[in-house]
Amino acid sequence: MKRKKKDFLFDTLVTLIASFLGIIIIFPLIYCFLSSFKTPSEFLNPKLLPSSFLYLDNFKNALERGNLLRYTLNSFIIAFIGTVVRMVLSILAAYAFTFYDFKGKNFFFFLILGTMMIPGDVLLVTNYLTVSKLHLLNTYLGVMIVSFVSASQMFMLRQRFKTIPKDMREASSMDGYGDLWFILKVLLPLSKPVVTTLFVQSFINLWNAYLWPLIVTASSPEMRTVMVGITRLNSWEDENYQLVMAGVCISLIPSIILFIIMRRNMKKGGLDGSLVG
Amino acid sequence: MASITLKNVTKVYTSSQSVGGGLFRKNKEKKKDVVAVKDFSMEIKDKEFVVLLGPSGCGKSTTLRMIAGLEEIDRGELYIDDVLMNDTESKDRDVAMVFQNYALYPHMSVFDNMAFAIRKRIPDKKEVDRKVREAAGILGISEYLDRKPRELSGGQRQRVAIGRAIVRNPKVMLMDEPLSNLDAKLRNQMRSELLKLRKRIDATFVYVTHDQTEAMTLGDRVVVMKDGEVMQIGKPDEIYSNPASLFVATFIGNPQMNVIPVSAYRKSEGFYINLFGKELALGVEYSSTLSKRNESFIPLMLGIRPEYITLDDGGGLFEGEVMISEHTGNSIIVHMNVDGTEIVALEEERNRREINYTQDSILHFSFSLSDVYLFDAVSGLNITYGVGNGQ
Repeated sequence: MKRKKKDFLFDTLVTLIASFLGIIIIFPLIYCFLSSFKTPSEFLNPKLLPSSFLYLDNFKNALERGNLLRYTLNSFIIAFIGTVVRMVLSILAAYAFTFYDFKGKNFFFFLILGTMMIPGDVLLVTNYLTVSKLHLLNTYLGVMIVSFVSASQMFMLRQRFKTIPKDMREASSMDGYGDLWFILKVLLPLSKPVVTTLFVQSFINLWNAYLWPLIVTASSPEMRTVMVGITRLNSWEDENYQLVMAGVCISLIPSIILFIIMRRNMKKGGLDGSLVG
Repeated sequence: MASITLKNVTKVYTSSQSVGGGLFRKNKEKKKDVVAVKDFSMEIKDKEFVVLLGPSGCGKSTTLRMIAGLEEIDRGELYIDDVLMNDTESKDRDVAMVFQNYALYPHMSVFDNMAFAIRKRIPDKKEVDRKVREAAGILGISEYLDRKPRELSGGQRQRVAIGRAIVRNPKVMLMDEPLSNLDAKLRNQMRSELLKLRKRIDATFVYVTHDQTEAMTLGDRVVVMKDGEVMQIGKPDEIYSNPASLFVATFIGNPQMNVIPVSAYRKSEGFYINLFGKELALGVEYSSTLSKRNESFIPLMLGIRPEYITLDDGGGLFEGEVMISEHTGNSIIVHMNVDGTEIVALEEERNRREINYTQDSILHFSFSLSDVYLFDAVSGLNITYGVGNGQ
């Protein structure tokens, strides 16, 4: 009995600490959500709750004045295409590094991994110059191109692919399936959790990117992404934080929808039953 | 409709071993050629069941994979139905393979696992369906078609793996130790099912195993391999009764053949050996081979199978002290110490007489010299192989 009591106390303590941490993490979001319903005068009031949840002017203004609809579309195009291309390239590279034997395989693999050690900010200027020389400033491609290749994603996928027995590829090649078929019909379905997680993670990263889209689309306001657009809602002569909060709420919607859709696929999927045992 | 011809097929791996070095120091690479299969030559007839047998690392799986097209052939030629296959892709060879670890697709149902193998070749869905159901019927897995591999037992997964191969109706069926992961009872059962299956499928079988019982029971012919080389090719009973070398003789047979180093010497009437202090005259069949040798004492290895040793309480030619006796149910395996050499005898339970098999008791035993094999002590070759009947 004593033991049970001890366990109960421990469980309660863990739950309390976890809840506390959870509240700290989610509080800015809650605050942002609640503030987006406040009137300008209410916003300066330290009260947490808005007087009415029916006050939607902030959303209306953000969408109309701030052109957020267009920016959301820009962000979506950039994040979605960027992620798809990145996934395709990562999958193909990881496949080659897992299933092919070629000279210098380890050298190239570590060379690619080495790029993970270079901080992105260091490349900002050179990337900008490259993109500008390619005449890609103020274009979708210009914003996306630097995110097409991801060493870390390639690495994660390779780790997953390595757990898939080579016999499976041999079996499918004997049945007349080429590499592409094997990837589509066997490898990807078996790697669904990793692939979806990486997809969501990559989409959210690109969606949330700020600095790069800002400098690449600096001279063309209609090409801005939603993250850049939101900051423009607020200017020094007109402090409209409740408008920014509404913009942030709008910008969160696609990421949340994507997460909800993909969540089911992220759960553990395994090789159970493929092999002996 | 499929004969397989292998002519001096050779596979060499270049293994590079890193010596020393580390992450920041350059590794010294030692390149070493390892011959996995050396000059494998054989003609496999249409619908024949050939078993490649040998210890692990002997090159049997590599040979199979070369026939499958999963491994490149470095030297030599491979023909299937007299068509050179060296550079033909495995999918165009019309061969199917059952992998040792089954390699089923875990995300597909049993039906899809089997159908996947033929969808590329047969576009007609109904035909695919019919073929899969037919193959499933042969293997008795019709009721599991909707299940995923993880919901099946080891034996059922094994059947699915075989089903995936037979559904293609291939010319050649390759099997890489398909039963090695099953428990003993299931293995025996699947072994006899494979025998039945074989009669229903029009294919040439090449089967790899390290299990001699499988090799002896399944094979029309057995190829015994060691270190990438073929030691002997023959029918199972030939391999057992007329082994070409000491390796084959000791590899086949359970318990293993007793091997005793002896020296043959010439006396006026012929050749003799001295065994455990007894002088024994060798039969005339050995004389012709031995007389070619110049040494006065020819070093040999004498082999006698445990099942050819007769035990008794007294009266036998030799005497040994029982070290251990193992009762396996239908037989007793007796390990004896004879002048410091371990001799193993196998007595069938139904022939068992009132003999004391307990530890430390003294047993007499004898065997007929006609049941003895003599091998060259240096080359290990059976000195009468190919000359007489080897006995």
